[in-house]
Amino acid sequence: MDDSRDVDALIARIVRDARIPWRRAREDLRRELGSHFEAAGDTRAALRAFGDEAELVDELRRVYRRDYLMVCAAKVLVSVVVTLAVALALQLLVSLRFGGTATLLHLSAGFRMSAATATAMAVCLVATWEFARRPFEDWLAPGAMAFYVGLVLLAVMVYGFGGATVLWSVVLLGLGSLCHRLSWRKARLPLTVLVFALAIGALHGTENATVDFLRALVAGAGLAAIWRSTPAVLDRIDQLFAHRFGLNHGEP
Amino acid sequence: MNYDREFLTGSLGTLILALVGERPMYGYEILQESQRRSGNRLSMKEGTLYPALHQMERAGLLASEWRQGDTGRARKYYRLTAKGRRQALSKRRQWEAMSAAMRSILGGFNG
Repeated sequence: MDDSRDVDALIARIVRDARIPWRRAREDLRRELGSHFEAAGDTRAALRAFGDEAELVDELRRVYRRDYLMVCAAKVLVSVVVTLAVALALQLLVSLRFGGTATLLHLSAGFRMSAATATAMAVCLVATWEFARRPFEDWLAPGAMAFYVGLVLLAVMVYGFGGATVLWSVVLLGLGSLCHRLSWRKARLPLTVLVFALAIGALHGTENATVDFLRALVAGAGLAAIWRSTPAVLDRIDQLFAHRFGLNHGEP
Repeated sequence: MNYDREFLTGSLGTLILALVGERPMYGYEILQESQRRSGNRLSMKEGTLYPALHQMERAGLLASEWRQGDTGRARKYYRLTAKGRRQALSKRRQWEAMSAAMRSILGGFNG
């Protein structure tokens, strides 16, 4: 009885850790290993003869490595596209202005810059999310950094913004992170909005421009919404890919 | 006899292709058959067979299907594909040539 439980646990661990992104292939392996021990009969002897579990997992990972990396890349791409869409939609919402001479609704003059900041911020959050994943994996770090640099370059080409916007988004993320450490949980979000609004005011100040405090507050709320929604979206996408493709690179 | 892991890994593909080339077999049957034919001189860590089978299936050398075995239980049977048959032939020739060459070299070796 204990031996058969050991076999079930061994098979479950191998299938989970083998990083096989296809559900059917995982199920196939589970059945095949189950059938192996069933055919062997003497479970204890079969367990002894089976060999090193870690070695087998490594071999299986090597077999499915290309597919696994492909699914990882697809996940990062989906993460970027969805988070960017959400970030830009939020930015669009806070940049809408009523009235005007020609139309009822129009975008604020600073929309281009705000959209660039939102893009840089979302991309930076995605890169941080992948980069800081636990346990830290050497092969993920350069990949995430290269991906981030590539996306920033793409965004530079699309929006025409320079290094200052990237730096600015990193500063905002740092400020957001500091606010998130506040022990009084209920005050975190309002504080983040306020700090972002003050940062936007300070940025305008450095360019000898003025910004209405209420507008700065609305813009700060927009950035805070991006700051809060992006990790939630990324977590959801992680769960989706874990469920669908068995991606468990966040686990040992 | 204990074999070097690298030596065994290099031979595993040839062994699988040769056995499955005779008739469709499932994993455990391949292990049993290789042990029987080698007079129990060839024993490997059984788990290492499965990654090799999956790798060869993905490379298009083997095809598999689930069907009832002699005992009525479902087993995953592997068979050679056309590409696998060509590979089996090529591996067999290479192995025979290498084996003959090694015998010639080691023939006078007294340890």
